Amino acid sequence: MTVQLATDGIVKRFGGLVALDHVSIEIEAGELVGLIGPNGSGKTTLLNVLSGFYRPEQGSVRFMGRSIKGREPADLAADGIVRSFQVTKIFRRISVLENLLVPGLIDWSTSPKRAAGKAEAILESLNLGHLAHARAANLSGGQAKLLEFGRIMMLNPKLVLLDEPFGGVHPTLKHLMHDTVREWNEAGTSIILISHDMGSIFDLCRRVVALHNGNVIANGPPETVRNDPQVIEAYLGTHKAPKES
Amino acid sequence: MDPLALVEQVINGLIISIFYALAALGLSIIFGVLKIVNFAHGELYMLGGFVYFVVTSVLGLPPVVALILAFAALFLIGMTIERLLIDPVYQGKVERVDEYAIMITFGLAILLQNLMLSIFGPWTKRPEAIFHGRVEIGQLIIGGDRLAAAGIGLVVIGFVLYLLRYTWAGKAMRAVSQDRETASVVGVNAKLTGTLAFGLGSALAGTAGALIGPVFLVYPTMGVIPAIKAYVIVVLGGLGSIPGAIVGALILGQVENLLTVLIPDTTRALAYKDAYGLLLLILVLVLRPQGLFGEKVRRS
Amino acid sequence: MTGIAARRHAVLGAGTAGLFLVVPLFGFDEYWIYILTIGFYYAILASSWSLLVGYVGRISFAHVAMSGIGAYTSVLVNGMLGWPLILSIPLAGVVTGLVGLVIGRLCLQLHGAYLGLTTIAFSEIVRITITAEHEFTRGSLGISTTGLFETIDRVPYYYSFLALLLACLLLMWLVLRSRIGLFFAAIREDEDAAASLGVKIVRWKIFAFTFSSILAGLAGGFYAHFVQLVAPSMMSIQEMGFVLSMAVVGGFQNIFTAALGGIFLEGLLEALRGIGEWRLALFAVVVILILRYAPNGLFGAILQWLVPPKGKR
Repeated sequence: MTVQLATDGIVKRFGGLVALDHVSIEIEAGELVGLIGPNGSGKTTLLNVLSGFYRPEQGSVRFMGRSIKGREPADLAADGIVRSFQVTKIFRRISVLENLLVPGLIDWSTSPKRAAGKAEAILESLNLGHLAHARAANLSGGQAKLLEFGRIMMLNPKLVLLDEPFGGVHPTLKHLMHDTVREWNEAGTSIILISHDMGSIFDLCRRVVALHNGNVIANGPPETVRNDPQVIEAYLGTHKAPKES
Repeated sequence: MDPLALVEQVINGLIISIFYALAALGLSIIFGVLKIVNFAHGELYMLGGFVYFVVTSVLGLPPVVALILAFAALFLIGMTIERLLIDPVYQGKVERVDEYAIMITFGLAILLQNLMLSIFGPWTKRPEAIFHGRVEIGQLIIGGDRLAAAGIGLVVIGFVLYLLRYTWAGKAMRAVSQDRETASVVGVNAKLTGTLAFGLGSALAGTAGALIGPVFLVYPTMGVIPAIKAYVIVVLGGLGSIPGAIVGALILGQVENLLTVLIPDTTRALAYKDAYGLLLLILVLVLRPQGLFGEKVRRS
Repeated sequence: MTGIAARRHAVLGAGTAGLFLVVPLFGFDEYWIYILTIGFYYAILASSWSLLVGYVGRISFAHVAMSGIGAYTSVLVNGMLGWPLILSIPLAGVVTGLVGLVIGRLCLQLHGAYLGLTTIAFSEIVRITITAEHEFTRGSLGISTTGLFETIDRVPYYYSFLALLLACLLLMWLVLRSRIGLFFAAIREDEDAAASLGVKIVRWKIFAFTFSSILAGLAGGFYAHFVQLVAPSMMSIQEMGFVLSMAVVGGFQNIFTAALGGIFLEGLLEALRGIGEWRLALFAVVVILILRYAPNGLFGAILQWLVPPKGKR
C-alpha cells in the first residue's frame, strides 16, 4: 500500500500557544485512521492544517507525493481532500438538493442534470430523498450531519477528514453513518476520523493516532493505543482505560 | 514654517484629538460589548449638539446644565435604541446578523439626520459657549471656548476610563466584550450590559457634539464627517480597544493637521484633508485589520 | 423552484415589464415619464446592489461611487477627448469594472462592518478627489454634458433606460440561476464550508464585485447623458442611503423586488415632495420597520403572498 498523506514535523502556533508540536504522521491509501486525544490536544488544528485552513509555521505536508502546504481549501478539494466540520455547516437557506449541487457543479463539465441525478441517488442512500426540496434549515441536527456526508460524497474524494461527526447523534442514525463511512472506505477512500466516541473508533478504525498537547503520543491498533499508559494519563490522569461507550 | 505656528498647529491637533477621542471611545465601547459598528454614531453626536443648543438657546438654561442634559438625554436615547433595534439580534429574532446591524444603524442615521433637518432646517446654529474669551500662553493665543471644551472633554474621558476600570458596570462591560457567554455564566446580565454600553457610547458621542457645538456650530449634518473620523480612529486603534481609541485619536489629530500644513500645495492639501484619514483606514483594514491594539481575527 | 411557482413568477415579471412598456402611451405628464426614467436608473443600482448583499452576502457602500465613476468617465472622455457616446459609455463600464476588480481584490478578507467601513472610505475618497481636482472636474459645480438624444422629448430616454434595466436584470438573472448563483449562495451561507467543497471563493467574490460595479458604472454613464449634468453629489453617502433604502424596501434578497423598490421609492420621493425633508425621515422609518419585521421587503412580501414559496434559493 502506498503512502498517500505524510506530514513531517508540523508546527502550528497561535501567539504563545503551540497547538501542534512537530507532528509527523502517515496515512496509506485506503486507510481508516482514528484521531483521538483530550480537548485541546490539537486534533482539529491538525485537520485545519491538512485541509488548508491553517498554514503551519514549520514542517511539510505531502499528499500523493506533492507538497500541499499553503494550498487553499478549494484547491485541496479539487485535489481530493474534503472535510466535515465539528459544528455542522450546511447551507441553510437553500434546499437540501441544492446543498449537494454546490459540490456537484464545481466541475464545469458536469451538467446540472447529471449532478442532480447523482445528488438524488446519494440523498436516497442517506434516507433524505423525500426532503430533497426542503429548506436545509428545516432539517434536524442528525439529518444535517447526513447532509454534510452527502455533500462530501458528491465529490468522490480520495481522503476524507471527519471532525467529530457523531456528536450528539441518535444511535440509529449513528448506525447509518457508520455504514456509510465503512462503504466509503471499502470503495478505496482514505479517512481520518476525529471522535471522542470510543465505540465508533473501535468499530471503524484499524489504526488510531493519539495526540496530547500537540504531540503524537501513540500510533497503532485501537486496542494497543487504548491501553497505552500515556494515552490513559492524557485522558484521565488516572490508571483507567478510556471507556468504550 | 515658523515654530510658533507649528506649536499652535500641534496644540490645535491635540484639542481636536480630545473631541475625536470622546466620540471614538463611545464607538469602541459599543463595538466591544455588542460587536456591532454603530453607523448612526455621527447622528448621536449631532443629537447631543442639538440638545445642548435647545437647552441653552431655547430654554435659556446655563451651558453646564445643557451639557449634563445632553449626556443624560443621549444615554436614555441610546438605551432605547439598543432595546428596540439591537437587542432582537441577541434574542435570535434576526437572520443575517452582521448585515442587519449595519443596515439598521445606517437607516437610523438617515432617520435622525432628516428628522432634525425637518424640524430645525439646514441652517447652522451657534449655541452659547461654556467659556468665552481667549487664553494667552506666552506668545500663543488659543480660543478659550475651545480650551474649555477640550478640558471638559478630558475630564469626561477620565471619568469613563475610571468607570470601565473600577466600577461594577465597567467591569461587566469589559467581561461581556471579552466573552459574552462566559460573562453570562458567571452572573453578568449581558442583556443589561449591552443596553448600558450603547447608552454610554451614545452619551459620549452626544457629549462630544455638545462640546463642539459652540465651537464649530450645530447643524443636522454635523455628524457625518466626525463619524467617519471616529471610524478611522477606532479601526486604527483596533475595534473594541479603549487605549486604541485614544491613541488613534491622537494620531489622527496630528496627521490631519500636519499633512495639511506640510504639503506644499496648500489649497489642494486642504481639499484632501478628510481623505488622509480615509486612506489610513483602508490601509489598516487591508494590511492589519486588527489595528494597533485589537485582537487578531481568526478564521474558522 | 417548482414549475408552478416559476411560471407564476414569469407571468408576474412579464406583466410588470409590459406595464412599464405601455405607460408612455397613456398620456401621462412628461414630468412623470422623467421621474420613472430616474426610477429605472435607481432600479439598476438597487438591483445590482442587492446582488452583492442578498445573494453573495456582502455589504458594499461603494455602489454609488461606482455609478459616479462611470458617469464621470463617460463625461470626461466625451467632453475632453471628443469620443462619441457609443464608445464613452461602454468605456465607463470597463473603467468601473476595473475599479471594481481592484476593490474586490483588496476587500477579499473583509466582511461585515469592516467591508462596510472600507467601502464607505473608498466612496468618500472618490468623491473628495473629484471635488478637489476641480481643474478637470469643476469640483462641486459639476460638468454639463451632451444628451443621448438630440430631442428634448423624454420618451426616447424612458425606453432606453427601460431597455437598459431589462438587459441588466436579464444578465443578472442568467448568472444567478446558473451554477454561479449557487456558488454565491454557498459563499453567503457559509464561506468555510463552501471553500472546503471546492468553491473558488476568491474568484467568485471578485466576480460578484466586478459584475455589480460594471452594471452600476453603465447606469451612471447613461444617467450622465440623460440629466446632462454630473456632480460629486451623485456619489454622496446620502445617495447611497437612497439606494440602500430602495433595495431594502423593495426586498434586497431578490433582484426584481429590489428593482421595483427603486422605481417605487423614486416615485414616492417625488409624490411626497410637498412635505420636504420629512419624506426622507419617513423612508428611514419604513426601512427600519422593514428590516426589523419584514426582511423580504414590501415587494418581497407581496410576491410571497401571490406565489407562496416552497424551498427557494
